Amino acid sequence: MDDRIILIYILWNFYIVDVFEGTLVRTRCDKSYIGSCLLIYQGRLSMSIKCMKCNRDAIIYQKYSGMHLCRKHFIEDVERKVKLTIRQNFRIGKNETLVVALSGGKDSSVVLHILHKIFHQRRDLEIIAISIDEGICGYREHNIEHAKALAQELGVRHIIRSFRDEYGTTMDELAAKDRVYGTCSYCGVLRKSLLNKIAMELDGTKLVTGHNLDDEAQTILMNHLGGDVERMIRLAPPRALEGLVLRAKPLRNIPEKEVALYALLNNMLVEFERCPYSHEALRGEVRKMLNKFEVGHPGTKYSLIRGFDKMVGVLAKDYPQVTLSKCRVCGEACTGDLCQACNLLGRG
Amino acid sequence: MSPTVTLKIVPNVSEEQILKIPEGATYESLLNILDINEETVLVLKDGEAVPLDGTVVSSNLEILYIASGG
Repeated sequence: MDDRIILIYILWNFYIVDVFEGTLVRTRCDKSYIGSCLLIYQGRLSMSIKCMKCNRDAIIYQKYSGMHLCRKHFIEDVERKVKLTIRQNFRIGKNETLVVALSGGKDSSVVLHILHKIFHQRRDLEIIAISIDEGICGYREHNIEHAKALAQELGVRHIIRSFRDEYGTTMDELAAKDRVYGTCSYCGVLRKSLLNKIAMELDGTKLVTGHNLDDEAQTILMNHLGGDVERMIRLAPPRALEGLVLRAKPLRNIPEKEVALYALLNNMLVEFERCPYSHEALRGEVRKMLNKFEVGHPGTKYSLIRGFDKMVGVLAKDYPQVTLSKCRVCGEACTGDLCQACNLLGRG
Repeated sequence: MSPTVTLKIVPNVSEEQILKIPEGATYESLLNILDINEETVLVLKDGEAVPLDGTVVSSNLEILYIASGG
């Protein structure tokens, strides 16, 4: 029952009910007692924290900005940041085809939802969602079902392709084999290669992924830790290259936690199952370290990517963009004569 | 009177448990006590998200781990 209705009920009946603790004790009492109870009640009502932009109850405290936001203003804040990121890093022109990598998890679902919300009235734009079934039993099937439902709900064309059809194997099979690298290396390389291939087939002008602020900050830090400057430069806001569809990461300024909250508020929250192979990743250690820093020093993740964005222009002068050639086996764009996907699969 | 919460940590971490929380404790301090990093979870009070600097009141609390993928 709404607290205010209970309050009216109390005044009407000269009864006081312990509404705060949820008990059913009801006591007849005099006016002065009711007066003092009302003061306590008002005090408790004001204990809920209010949105900085209106008087509604806040649902989030952004430590890094110092803002409390209600549902409406939180959603506005996320969408404003996404629009700004698109404008600054991935400007979308006329007659574009946006190919969205839709795993069905929270990040890709949110990015598709927001892009659709922003651009669905643009008749010159087409949004196509693609899902890759890597063949991870008990994990991927659920997400793909969710991806299908979301694409259908939004009326977005949806394409599903699998490692099995493309590479003749699955992640479960690759994970069980003797291998040189961690499972995430195989999965990441093969998925990216396939996503690019499909986006090229569809004449996509942008390949949109759901990478969030945490993902980006982790990758930057991992590259620092590994001293891998060339790989770091590839993370920079993209430039056009023959054979590669331009990558776009509209959520790169949204913390993972806020992506999850946005998904929850828009009924897109999927079960947060973890990939059974994710424990092999170094990323987990970096994620833990960064989260600890973020709590102690709010804004650390933003600082990392802002600093990186400033540095990358300077670094690019010493590390010019490599020219791409075609893989001699599959024909995909790559830096050598054999692409990483074919190399990992032992082709050629 | 110190609040009593019914707490559930999902996915697959704990069964429902009933906890007595010190009066005036915030959701942030509750996460600290449980040794959970606040960047990795959402806290839902009776199904609604709450700011972590808010004071814990008697309710059904759900702590939702958000990390997905790998």
